[in-house]
Amino acid sequence: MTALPPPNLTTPATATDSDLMLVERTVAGDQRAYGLLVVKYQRRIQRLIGRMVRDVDLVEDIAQETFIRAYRALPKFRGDAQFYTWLYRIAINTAKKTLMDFKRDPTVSEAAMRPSDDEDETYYRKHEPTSPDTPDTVLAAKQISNAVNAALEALPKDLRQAVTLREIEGMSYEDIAEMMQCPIGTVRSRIFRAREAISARVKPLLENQSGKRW
Amino acid sequence: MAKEHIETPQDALSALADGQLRGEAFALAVERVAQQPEAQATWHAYHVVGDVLRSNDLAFCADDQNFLARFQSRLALEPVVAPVVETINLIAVDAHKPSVKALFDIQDKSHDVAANAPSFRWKIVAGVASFLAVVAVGWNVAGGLGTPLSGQQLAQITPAVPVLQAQVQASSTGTDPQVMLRDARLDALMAAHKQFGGTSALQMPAGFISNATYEISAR
Repeated sequence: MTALPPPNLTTPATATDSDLMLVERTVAGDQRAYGLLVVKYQRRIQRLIGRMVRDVDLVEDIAQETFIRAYRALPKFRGDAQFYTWLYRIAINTAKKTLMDFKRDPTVSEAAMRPSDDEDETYYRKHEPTSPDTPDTVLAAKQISNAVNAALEALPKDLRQAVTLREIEGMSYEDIAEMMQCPIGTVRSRIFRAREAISARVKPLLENQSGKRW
Repeated sequence: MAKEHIETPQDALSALADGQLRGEAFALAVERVAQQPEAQATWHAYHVVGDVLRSNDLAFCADDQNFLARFQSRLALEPVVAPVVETINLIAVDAHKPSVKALFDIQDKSHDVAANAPSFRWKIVAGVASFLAVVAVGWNVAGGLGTPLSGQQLAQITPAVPVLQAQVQASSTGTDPQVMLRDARLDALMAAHKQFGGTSALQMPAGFISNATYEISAR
């Protein structure tokens, strides 16, 4: 019996096409398209940097610098790798440089953080030695997590299955349609309705965090 | 992917998040997110939901809005990026020598003088050296291809250094193609010192020393 490959717990495959299209649009002169990418990845990048740096403010500074550097280097991004993989490398390098500038030692070596270029977030969970979270952020994160999980549990079975296959398993619409034995349009609709239902619970929590939106 | 599946703008954002939009639908969705705060909130919430479903750690997003607002202000100060193309340098046109080809110069690295770029001076040196090599080889070949000297001509050539004039006697048998060259002086020497050429430790005559032959099929 052969071992099944680990599920893709990160970016669904077709979302990378969307990333590349947003990059192309940004390079074509639309800065706003880059904002969509920042919204999409800033939590992962902050979390990544947070494993190297204890200072919460410094984490945000490095994350800002990471996205700025990535923006400047966007014309060099050719889509050979996934956008997040490329962004990840920039974040690591930016964090290292910042730490060297500050004469601080990283709390975690890069090798201990990431065994390869895959995007296995579970690896981070297992090896996470530090956290830049404050009690407030921990509480907010817990509220959001609880809201998402509660909303997911409350979904009808077909919606829950569709969004789970998409977000957690990373399956394409075509594969989900085949698995659920329904048209692709139905899959799209179910995923959208599931997202809307979960977002309805999350949005109030997100809006309470800050007044100003990008 | 087909447009008939998109029922509402929110559905388009969900499809955009999954990379399902192309062309005009993609552009419209991006435009909507960029311009409408509600669409921005939806886009944000969709990705928070996705991140949290994949990992509860990513629920850490308390300062998302401040982060994004701060980033937007920084991004606004950045020049718009441009795709990487061959750098085009506008060359100042010399007023005294107006030239059409001086208008644009596409900077190509191959036009730069590299450290190992061929130099005309070295080309001349290499050419001369090649010519001399060909002449030298040709000279030798021309000399070698001339009429070979006959035996008589060879015999008439007086050696520059006096050599030991040895009387050589050739002998051969009818059946044995071997030709034995006998040296008369060596024979005399062996005859005078026959006691040393007697039975050796091998219990065999040691006369073979004077019988060294040069095996050749014909002479």
